[in-house]
Amino acid sequence: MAGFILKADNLHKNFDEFKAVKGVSFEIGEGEIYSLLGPNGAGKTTTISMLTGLLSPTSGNAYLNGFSVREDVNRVKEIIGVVPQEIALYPTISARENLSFWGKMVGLKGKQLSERIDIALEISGLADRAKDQVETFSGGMKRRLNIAVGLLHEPKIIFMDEPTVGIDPQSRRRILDTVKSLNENGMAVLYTTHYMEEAEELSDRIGIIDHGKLIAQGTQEELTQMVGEFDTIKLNIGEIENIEERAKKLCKLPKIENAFGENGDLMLQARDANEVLSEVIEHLNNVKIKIHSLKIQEPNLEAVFLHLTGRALRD
Amino acid sequence: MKPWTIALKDTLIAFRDRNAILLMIAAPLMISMIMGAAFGNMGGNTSPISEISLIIVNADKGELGKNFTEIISSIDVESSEGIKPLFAVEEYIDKDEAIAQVEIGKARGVLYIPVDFSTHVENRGESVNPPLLEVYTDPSASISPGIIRGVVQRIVNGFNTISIGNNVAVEQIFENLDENSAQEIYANLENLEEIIIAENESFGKVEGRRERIIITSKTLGAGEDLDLLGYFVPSMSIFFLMFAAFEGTRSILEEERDGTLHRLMITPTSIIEILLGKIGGTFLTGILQFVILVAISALLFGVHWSDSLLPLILLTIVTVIAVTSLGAFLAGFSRNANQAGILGSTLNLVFAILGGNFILTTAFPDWLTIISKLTVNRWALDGFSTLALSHGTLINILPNIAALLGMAIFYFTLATVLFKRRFIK
Ligand SMILES: Nc1ncnc2c1ncn2[C@@H]1O[C@H](COP(=O)(O)OP(=O)(O)O)[C@@H](O)[C@H]1O
Ligand SMILES: [Mg+2]
Repeated sequence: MAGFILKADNLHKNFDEFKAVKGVSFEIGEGEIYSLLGPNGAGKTTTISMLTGLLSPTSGNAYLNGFSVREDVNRVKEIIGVVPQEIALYPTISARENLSFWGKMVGLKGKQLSERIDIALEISGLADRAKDQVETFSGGMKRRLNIAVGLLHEPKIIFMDEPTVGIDPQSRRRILDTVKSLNENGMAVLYTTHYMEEAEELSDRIGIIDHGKLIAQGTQEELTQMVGEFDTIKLNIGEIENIEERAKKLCKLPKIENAFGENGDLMLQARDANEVLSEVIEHLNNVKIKIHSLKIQEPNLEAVFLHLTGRALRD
Repeated sequence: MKPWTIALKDTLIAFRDRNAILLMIAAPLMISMIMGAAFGNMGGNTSPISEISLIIVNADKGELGKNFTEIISSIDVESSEGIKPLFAVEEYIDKDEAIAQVEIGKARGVLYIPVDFSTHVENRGESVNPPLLEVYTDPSASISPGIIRGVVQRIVNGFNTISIGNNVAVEQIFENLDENSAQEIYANLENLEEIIIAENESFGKVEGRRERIIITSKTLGAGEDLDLLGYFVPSMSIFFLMFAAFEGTRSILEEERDGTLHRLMITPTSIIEILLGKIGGTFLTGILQFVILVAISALLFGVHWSDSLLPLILLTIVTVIAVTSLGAFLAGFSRNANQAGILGSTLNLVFAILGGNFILTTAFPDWLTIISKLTVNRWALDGFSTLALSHGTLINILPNIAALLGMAIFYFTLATVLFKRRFIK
């Protein structure tokens, strides 16, 4: 088996009394895309901060290409690229000036620097806006530039912390495609998200993180097998008030394991969908809720999270 | 290398920001001008070379004063709009009222012909006290004073030569005067520029030069216009240098807030290099700001900053170092960028008032003078004033340089301690 580019070994991080990360261990192989999937506040950013040398772990250690983040943090910084969750750019100078500055900060210069800047502009699709001030960019363009900065020195592994939060579908599509094409060129990726579809689409392996702990990890198949014996029923009932409370009430029906409601959908888990369907429909009829559509779903990561935590995976 | 990259980046950001430029360059110049104008000694707008408004106060009891007035009124010049009188003459009775007209800018000059003028000339200069022709000119005008003085001078020359030696009737004197002197004046007006230059050069030496008739010339307000700017421009430059420098060091906290500081820390760059770069950028921006202010004010408004360059350069450098260090201390002390902004503006204002940027420190009581001397502003301003107003040399400002350096070291040490506690774990 190829070596690990990253190995996190029982990382802990306390902020005073509060334990934000409680023993996270995982590995990323060379050229692998690994996603940390978890809701807001799960500890994704804190974990990345420890892996990139920004925060020192309360206990545990991590190694990048064999270098410890505790002892060899400068060697670590040379091989990693980081795309922070918040857009970290200078808004009043141009895209090219931003790239040039950050390129110099990772040690690029001269011809190599300008070549890499051109490549980065190409990748992010911003070549025609290179001279414009960043503050004139849309949210999606800023996110793309934010990523491009992290790619300048062609790192062996790139950390992307929720790079698609709050942007338009096209930019999101473009970012996901960028991640894939970078990976095809051999770059390993640590990708954090709270969108299950992104984790499903991108990842070779996925770690599900909640309350500072990795509660499950593996390939998508391995993870969904965990809920293999369950059916997930998805009912579209349209936007109604108190959808979460409706879900909780449904949970009390016999044989329903888990339930949650979101964006007009009710998601229910049961060992056998057919056994519970009639009861669910009757219950909704009684409370005068109209069902627009009904689907029995293949197990997915959302279902896994629901199964493991009894909660919905969202912010 | 890395600190330099960061410093250049910050300088680029500062000079790319229109608001910052407004604050760094335009505001100090504009406020200096406004303050200068408020004291009534600004201007230098072009004076018309025809119809120069001149008030004549003719107190002479005899005929000659009237005649003098007529000569002046009859001088014509060829202007772009045809033949025009050189002076638009108005006659006043009251001298003070006439002078007031000049002070409020309604007239360019006053000629006062004294009571005993005719008597004196008719006695061919044998009276004990020669009569005193008084000329008052507008200090804000650059051309008309020379013309007024030049013309009066020439007419007087005519009186003097004619009244020496020959027993000529008064009437004849004036016929001569009319034809010769007036014509000479008229001819010479073609060399107007030379007259102005010559008169302006001899201005001030005029008094007492003539035997028979003495002319005293006064520029009202005694030419304080440049001196005022020599005080206000450095003063406002220091004040706005401080604004910009505090913004510069405050950007450390802004970068912390906006996540770029974290991103910098993820690059192979130590926090010490980053902080050095940030502080260096503030210094570099401050130096550039000051150099631009010196250059613009010297070129456009003729502000005289210093007799020689070296003391000015040294004083500028230590001033910027001191202000930057104070800013660094403030940034280290503040919890976040917001707080640093509020603290910075407050401190800036308090220091400026204490340091004499707005109020002259000469009026301060002793205890306030002591407090005043604890500010960077006071030492910097005193230094620049010494160079600009008293023609000071390097020796004269050595105490200022030493005091500013001392403050810089003090604040920088404090800043280092605070930054260490904050950023280096
Ligand atoms: N500097 C900090 N001080 C105190 N608490 C923090 C700090 N950073 C993060 N936390 C807390 O740690 C938890 C995990 O945060 P984070 O790693 O940002 O989560 P995620 O990135 O998964 O949304 C959250 O509860 C957050 O409030
Ligand atoms: Mg996060």
